[in-house]
Amino acid sequence: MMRNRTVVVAVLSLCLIIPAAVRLSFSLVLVVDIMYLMLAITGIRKLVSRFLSGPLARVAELCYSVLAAVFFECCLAVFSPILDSLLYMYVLLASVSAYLLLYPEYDIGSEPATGLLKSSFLKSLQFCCYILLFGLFRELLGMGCISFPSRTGIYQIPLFSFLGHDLFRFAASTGGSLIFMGIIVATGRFMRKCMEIARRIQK
Amino acid sequence: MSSLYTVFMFVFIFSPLMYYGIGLESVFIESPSSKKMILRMPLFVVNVLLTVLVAKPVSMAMMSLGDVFVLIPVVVFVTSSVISAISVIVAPYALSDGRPFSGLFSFGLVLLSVMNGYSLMDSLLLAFAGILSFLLSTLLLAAITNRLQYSNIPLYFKGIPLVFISLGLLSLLFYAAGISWWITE
Repeated sequence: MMRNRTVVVAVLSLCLIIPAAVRLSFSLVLVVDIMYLMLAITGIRKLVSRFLSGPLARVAELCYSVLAAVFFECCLAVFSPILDSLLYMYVLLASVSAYLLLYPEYDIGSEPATGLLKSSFLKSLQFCCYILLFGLFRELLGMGCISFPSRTGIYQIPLFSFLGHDLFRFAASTGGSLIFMGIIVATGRFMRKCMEIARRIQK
Repeated sequence: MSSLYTVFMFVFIFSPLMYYGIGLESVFIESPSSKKMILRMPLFVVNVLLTVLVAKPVSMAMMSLGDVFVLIPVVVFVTSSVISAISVIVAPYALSDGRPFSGLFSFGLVLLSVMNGYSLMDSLLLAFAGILSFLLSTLLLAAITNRLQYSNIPLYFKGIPLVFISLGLLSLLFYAAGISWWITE
């Protein structure tokens, strides 16, 4: 079950992580969006479960999640129209991703509201860490700088000039990041196996 | 000729899969069972085209109303949900494994074609090209994973890592087609 959960998180995050988390500034916007959506969806699910059940409740929850994403998109457009034009599609798609991440987990009617909010916050935190790390890694390798969201678009701080080379820029592209992701997952598995063996030897 | 040009541009160069990334997770899920995907494909095509057909005129009317245009994604989503709910009633095999077929991809594709297309015909063409791109990538990835089953692969690369690497190489293939077309033009 736990393994399936990891796979689901990995697969659903692909849609946002690969094309949208190209820069740290974009990742930060997405992190705020996902945190807000997770909390908003949890709240409305609790409310909807009192009045509706079954497929009708699901449609109502999903419609509300898209509406919440539209509200966030409007706020982003007020803060920075440039950022909004760059991330418009992903801000909206995050609503469906966030809903699918939350959906099959628990019986929402029987859980207390504070417990639900806490668990959805922890779940989104894990997802957001992936997005932030990915954005930071890709921006540093591909452009040799880090950026933050600002009213004029993005505020860029150059760090390492040698990292902006074409050789490293490949890591920031869609193809490159997918390949690197595969290598990172394989390395993670290898490390876990090594640690397991070391623990057994220690015992 | 211009229709062919639009389809080619969208399938290879501005592929919703590689450029917008909206189908990556669907390709990931669907590729191990490509036979099931092909069985459900007609329903998916009808779903997407019907949603565009209904949502596009509504969104065009909302555009002319002024500030209401921010609600277009909600309208697209409601239309998409209603049509998929009807299709599930008409053909229950679409949900035989308990998972909505390409939910996120279908929503993203319809939204993209409704927002980017200039006319109803353009939107339908964009949606069709998106479906073509999805089908092409899923079949390619399914063929790759089938072949890899019988290959001698290092243990740590089996499963997800290899699918990620294959998807990355596929995206490079799509880019190459696009770039070579730009150069010859």
